[in-house]
Amino acid sequence: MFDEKEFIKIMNQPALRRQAFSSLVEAYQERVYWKVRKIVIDHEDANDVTQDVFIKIWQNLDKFRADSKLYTWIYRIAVNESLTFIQKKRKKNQISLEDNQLLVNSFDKGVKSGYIDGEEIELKLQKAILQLPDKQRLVFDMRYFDKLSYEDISEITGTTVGGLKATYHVAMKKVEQSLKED
Amino acid sequence: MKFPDQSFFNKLQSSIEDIVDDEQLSIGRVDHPFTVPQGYFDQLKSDIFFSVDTNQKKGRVIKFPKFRAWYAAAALLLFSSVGLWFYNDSPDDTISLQSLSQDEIIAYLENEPIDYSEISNSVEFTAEEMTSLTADNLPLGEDFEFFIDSPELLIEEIEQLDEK
Repeated sequence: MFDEKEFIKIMNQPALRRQAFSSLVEAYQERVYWKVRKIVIDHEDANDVTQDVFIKIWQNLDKFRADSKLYTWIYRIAVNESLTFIQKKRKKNQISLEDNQLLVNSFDKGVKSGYIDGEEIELKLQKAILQLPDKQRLVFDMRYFDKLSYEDISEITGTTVGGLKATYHVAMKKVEQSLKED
Repeated sequence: MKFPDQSFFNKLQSSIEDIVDDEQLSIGRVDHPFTVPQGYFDQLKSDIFFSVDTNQKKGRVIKFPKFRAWYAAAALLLFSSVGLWFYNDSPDDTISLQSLSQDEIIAYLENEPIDYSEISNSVEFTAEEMTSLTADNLPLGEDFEFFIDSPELLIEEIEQLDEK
């Protein structure tokens, strides 16, 4: 079997690169999609961003250094692409860069169209999370839902573990408060 | 080099899946109400390859990580209220940004050397960290982040600051 370092070596051989990339897409496409979807909310947007993420991975695989984990590198690209996308969308719609109304609208649209479908409490929780600023929302999602370690979140976001713990604590309090008020 | 047979790639695929499973990446698979159209993931892989191939044909490649870091550096410069001087040695010869075209501003950003130590005095990076900035290692959540992919928005910000 191959480990990550061997995989990267294979990826960097031009004759094998495409087929190895195909294996990587196969293994990661769903995970990347869901990571992106939970940030950008709308399915069509998530579809576009997911493709952009894999374009970036394809273009930058030779820059991957095996001193970090492959999946944290991939998620870092996914998170950055998603955040960039929603910032551009806000800018295009001339709304504040901190305003999550567009995401709330996408969420409500998704509920109506059936692309978002769950128990009432799940929907309430997601709407409470949508009230958080982007960074708190990301950290909350990666810790609460994805169960990632602070160390891995730190590698993905480029934030210190201490800072992440504080961010998660604040986010959790806000979500709790929001659910109580609802 | 002899091209490996299909079993090689099957083994490769299974190794990657093992890596993903070892990391217990449950990401996105549980506890959320989001759904996708039926059969979406069956189609996604071919859509991704179509996008990758189309982008290669168009030549849309991220060319110079340093160049991209340049926009971040330029944005940092602006946000930290450091003056932007064009071409002349004397500070009295400042040229208004409004008098320059976007092409000229972009040419400046691409070609002028940057004083990383000056920027690092204004922000939390060291000069060494500044020189190693690339699109992939920029910290999250900073205002300048989205300018990297949208230099035209950076130009707008420059112009707005100049008007003030």
